[in-house]
Amino acid sequence: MFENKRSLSLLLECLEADGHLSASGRALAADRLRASPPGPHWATSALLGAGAWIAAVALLMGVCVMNYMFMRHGGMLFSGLVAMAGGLLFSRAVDEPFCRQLSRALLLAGQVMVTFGGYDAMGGHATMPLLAAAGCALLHALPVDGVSRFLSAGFAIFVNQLYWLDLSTLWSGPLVALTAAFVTAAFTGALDRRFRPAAYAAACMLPALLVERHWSAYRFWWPDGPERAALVVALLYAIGTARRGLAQVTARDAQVATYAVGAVAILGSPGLLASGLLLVLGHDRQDRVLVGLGALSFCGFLSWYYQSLHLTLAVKSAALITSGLVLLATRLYVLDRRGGVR
Amino acid sequence: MRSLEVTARREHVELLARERFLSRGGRDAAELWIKSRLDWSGWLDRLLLATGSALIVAGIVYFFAFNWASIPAFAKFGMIEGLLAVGVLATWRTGLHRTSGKVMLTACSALVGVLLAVYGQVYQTGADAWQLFAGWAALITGWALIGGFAPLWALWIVLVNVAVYQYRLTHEQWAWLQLHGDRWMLLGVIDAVLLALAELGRAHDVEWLRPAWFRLMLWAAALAFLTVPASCVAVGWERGLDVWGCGAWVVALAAGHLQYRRATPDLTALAFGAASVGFVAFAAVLHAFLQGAFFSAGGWLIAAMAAVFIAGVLGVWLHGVAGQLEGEHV
Repeated sequence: MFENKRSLSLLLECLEADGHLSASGRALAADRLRASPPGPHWATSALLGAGAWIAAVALLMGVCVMNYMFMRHGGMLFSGLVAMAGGLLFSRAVDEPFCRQLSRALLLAGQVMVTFGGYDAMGGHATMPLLAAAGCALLHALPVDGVSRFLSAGFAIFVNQLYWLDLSTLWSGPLVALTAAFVTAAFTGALDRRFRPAAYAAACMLPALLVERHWSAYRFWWPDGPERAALVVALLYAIGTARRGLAQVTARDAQVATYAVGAVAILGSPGLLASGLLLVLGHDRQDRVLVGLGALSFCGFLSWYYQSLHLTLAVKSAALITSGLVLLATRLYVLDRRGGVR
Repeated sequence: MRSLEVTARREHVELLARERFLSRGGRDAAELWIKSRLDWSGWLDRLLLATGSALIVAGIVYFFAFNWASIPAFAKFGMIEGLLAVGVLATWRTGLHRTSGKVMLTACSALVGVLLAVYGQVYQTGADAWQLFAGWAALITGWALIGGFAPLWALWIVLVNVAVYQYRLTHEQWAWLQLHGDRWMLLGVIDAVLLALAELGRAHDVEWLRPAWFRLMLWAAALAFLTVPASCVAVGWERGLDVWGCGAWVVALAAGHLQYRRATPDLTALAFGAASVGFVAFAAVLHAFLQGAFFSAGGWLIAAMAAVFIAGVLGVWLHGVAGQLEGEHV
């Protein structure tokens, strides 16, 4: 009979054996786990979440209409700050789907209103991207969840792209690298666990940053000279790390991997690598959101890569089929090494 | 009561930590335990298989795209019909009692559409789009009947829906711009009837009708289509058969509630129904308070309160139903 080697009963047994649970505590914990699932049904959460976003949009429309008449006197800025405060309050008050989503909507809308209201009150070409970035930094400093930080970063990138156009890509490359570094370090244990929510947000930001990074000047090329050497070193290191398993990764490993990922990211072909990183992180953390983001961005970057190759369709076809066969042959080799077929 | 033989996940550890069953050290230990038992080789296996297969399929598509214009019509038909013949032969050899045989029959059904499209392209038949989809659905009906395979029936249902939609587009001027029209009601009723048949089959233990995704797909489609005329009626824009469409929506909701609350409890299906009700109710509120007064701050604030109220009522109801279903399972 099939035995689940990761079952809840085994986990509780191990926790009791290691002294983290007493016998009575184990029985109580088992009863609690049997009693109800860890959270509400996804359909209930989705319905409540959608309702919260619609409510927030309607609420903010009302506030915007009220502000319309005295916007030039800082009304929008003030309302934005109030919305952010309200969002923070909701996020801290009750941990349930409706309040969580309402808090996210209010925090995002607050940042938008602060940015546009501040720009209107202060003027100046660079004010808007600076205020958006300040809002993003503020939300990263406040104890809010990763999704709020992700939305805030997305808005800051959007405003930045709107105002600085191509110039933004100059610094967003290093930003991608820093994000990847932070994510890698936090998830592999090099950083304290209290940084994990921020790392989660950073991991969510990664696809957005990558898209932004290549929005105007997307390029995928096989690097030459020292860049190629850096890529090969990074890949070899990644393979070596994967062979040992992520559970054994040390802080120093994370540091080296961070530099390698950063180097490759800056060198111009970060998409597939970063998507792969998201997939690995998602599986490591058993996080379906990260796996989904990774799979989607992986498919997107792979398609983009082949589409942007300056080759005829015939050569592309041969390259695709050969790559596919190599991967399937690798799979057979791995299965053979493991001594069994799934 | 739930079984403890399910796979331990981080959410479980977080629940235990939140409710003070585990200290910080215990939480770390539990997370490490879960991490150390992750099936990395299985994950790599699936990743390599999926990516490798996708690359090969994409390569084949590129090959045909490169050569398509220079391939003579006879060869085009030969290739597609050859593949079709090989597929049918392989299905016959494998047998329809095996999943692989059913998958091959589904692939053959998809190839029928390719054949019809190439036929239209080579001979420039001038047929309307709906004729392609209707012909395709008609030609594979027999295979769908003998196949008894949910994905094949899903393909057939999509084709019927697209054919009906395209037919109405062809016969209604500017139909694609309008919310009105009997096409939404027609599509909703078709999907609702198919769902009723599927539920009937499931009640008679038809094996292939068991997957939940199949009935959820039909239920979501029927509700989405019928919600359009219901919303039109709610905001006073009804025209033509919209009132009948609204009536069909009410009947579908009542029947769905009876089926998914009593006969075969399904919280996801009930949530779909709740979402549809919420949408129509919110549309009515927007119409009542913002019609002709878009820049009314009070109207928007009332709409916000209505959204909170509607989501709250539906959420509390769903939560209660989830609790009752949990209790019924114990």
